[in-house]
Amino acid sequence: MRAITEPLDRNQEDRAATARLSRATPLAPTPEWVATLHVHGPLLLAAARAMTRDEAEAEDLVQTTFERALRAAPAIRDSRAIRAWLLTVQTREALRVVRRLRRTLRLEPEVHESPMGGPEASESIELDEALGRLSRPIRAAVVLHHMVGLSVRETADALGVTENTAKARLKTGLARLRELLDED
Amino acid sequence: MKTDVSGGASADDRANDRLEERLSGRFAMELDRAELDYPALRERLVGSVPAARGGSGRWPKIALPVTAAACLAVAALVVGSLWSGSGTGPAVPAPLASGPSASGVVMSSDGIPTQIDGQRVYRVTDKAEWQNLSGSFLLGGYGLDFVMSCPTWLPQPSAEADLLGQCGGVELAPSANENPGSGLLMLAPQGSSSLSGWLGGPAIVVRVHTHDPEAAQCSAREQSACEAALVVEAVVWPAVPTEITGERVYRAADQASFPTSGSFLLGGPFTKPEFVPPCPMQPGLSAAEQQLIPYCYLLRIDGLEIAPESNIDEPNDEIVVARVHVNDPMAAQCPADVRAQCAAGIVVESVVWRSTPYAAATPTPAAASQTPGTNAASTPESGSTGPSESIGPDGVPTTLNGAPVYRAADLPSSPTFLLGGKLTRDTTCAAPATPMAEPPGCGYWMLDGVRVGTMVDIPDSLVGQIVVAQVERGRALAVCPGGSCTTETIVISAIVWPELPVATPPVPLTPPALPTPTTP
Repeated sequence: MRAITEPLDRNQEDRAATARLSRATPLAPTPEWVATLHVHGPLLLAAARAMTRDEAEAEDLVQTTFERALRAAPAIRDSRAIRAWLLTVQTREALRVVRRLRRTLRLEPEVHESPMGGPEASESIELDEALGRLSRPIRAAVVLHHMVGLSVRETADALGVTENTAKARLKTGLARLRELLDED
Repeated sequence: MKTDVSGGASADDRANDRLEERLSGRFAMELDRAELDYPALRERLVGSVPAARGGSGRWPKIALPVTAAACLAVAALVVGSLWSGSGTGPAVPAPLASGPSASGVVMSSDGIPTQIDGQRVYRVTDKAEWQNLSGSFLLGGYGLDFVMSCPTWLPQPSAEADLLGQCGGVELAPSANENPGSGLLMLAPQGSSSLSGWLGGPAIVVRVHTHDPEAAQCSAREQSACEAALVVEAVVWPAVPTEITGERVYRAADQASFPTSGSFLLGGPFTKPEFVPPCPMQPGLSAAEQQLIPYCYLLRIDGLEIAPESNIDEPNDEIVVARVHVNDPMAAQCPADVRAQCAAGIVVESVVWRSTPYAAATPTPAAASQTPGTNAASTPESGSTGPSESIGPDGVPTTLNGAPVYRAADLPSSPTFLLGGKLTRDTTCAAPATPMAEPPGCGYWMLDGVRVGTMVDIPDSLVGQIVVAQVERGRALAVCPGGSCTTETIVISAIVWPELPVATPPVPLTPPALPTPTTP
């Protein structure tokens, strides 16, 4: 879902924004840090798509994650730690954005791209649909742990909850998915 | 992918294993697709493009508020310095640290005070009266978040950025259910962050001023706009309850007298970092230390750091009252040198009252009853407790907190509204639901006979019940014969009545007082 509100006077806004941009100083992340982020880009995009089930929101999420990452430039160099940190930033933004968007009151409900063709695709569609029926926090837990492969501890950190809460969400998620997929 | 969370019988394990394999395989496909798509996306990412460019029209919608939030954070510091007296701001009275007294609030029938502690509360519509006031004054209304398209690059902090912003921002509406961006009162970015917990929520009263000193630094072209900019200094109403159902609500200033055994109520603004900080793992910490000693991603109530173990996830800056305890039994498992620190950890068991009624995990109405005097719905003048509602003859509320509840027969054209009636499953279509048909596909929901999609999980217990939902009009792409098609739809974004019970009801804890820790 995404906000569809547009400025009332777009030209006026654009002119004002352009005038301000002329005074703007772009952020100056190191090339190494940018390159590091791009290494994780596809993973972030895939995770964002799985979490949001909305192409535009997924791209927005990756964009926001990059913005935050560029500002934060964390003092961590271990690739797995960076990956977990980026996913944490992205997940919390995903959950935060939903709350915020719900308050903006103008939403365009989600448009979901699903793979097309063949029985494999049909299975994917079925699975996607089931994932889409999960609540966001539970879906985020399932995506991070069972799909992306974060540990339970990392998943809990990303969600900002305790390990026990993360485990409960994962258990609930699997049970709900099995129910939706009639997998018992 | 084998996990440690799928306990139970072996048949369960096998079913879970199969499902985990499916999920893993599905993500591998998604990753392949992302690898193909990412190069194009990369070109549009911040850090990959020249600074001065127009927005794509879609990217910045979410990104800009985030960059604006950073700007607001800087602005908040500026406001903070004004409060502390180090700035050269207008002559403002001392902030109402603990809010107005109950007797000092004179309510109006519109749910917004007309007077607080003898000071007039202006309305948004009184602009002719307040726009030329010098110094600060009180203004009542409803905070809204206005999100819109704009370029992503953040200008250097400047007077214009502080006072005029660059796009979107926080608006103040004269009444509930106004539409963001429809010509409402736009607030200066400076100070707007203090409203972040109130956006889309109940009526508020803010202390504001125009003619900010920073306006002098604006360019001549924007001087008058800067002078007129409305800068928020603080939210002064509603305030933190002093007691709930007869139980005292402690504040941070009372920390020395916190009960050392059993649970108690702690109230104040809930805050958490806007940005997730990088948190390098600390090796060798026991589980008890990790759960009880605040570290890195710091959550606070009324400025007090709370233990990571806490059960709380509220919007930033929302005023909450939480049931908490110190001396958690787990502290006994902490190493002796930090045991006292563990014992002092404030553990939130549950949130029993919040300032925003539509937040997730709403407490039960019984738990949320509030001492009069701090909220539009519970002031002595309104004479009720909890969310105010008028019930129609068929059991469906006609208003909630002053907002009309619409029925199927009189749906308004506004983009969002409250819809009430019986909630049932939509069984009008024989065709099975398709992945892209939610909403408004078959097999989902009907509310008062209107087919609706949902963005929230609806518990089975509500099927057949009378509910009121916050709904939004939107467009959805559905699967139609011959391809996709766009259709108008109504989507539930929240069930607002009846209030749903908390998912995990709080369990009263009575941790024993620990012996005085000894240093090895």
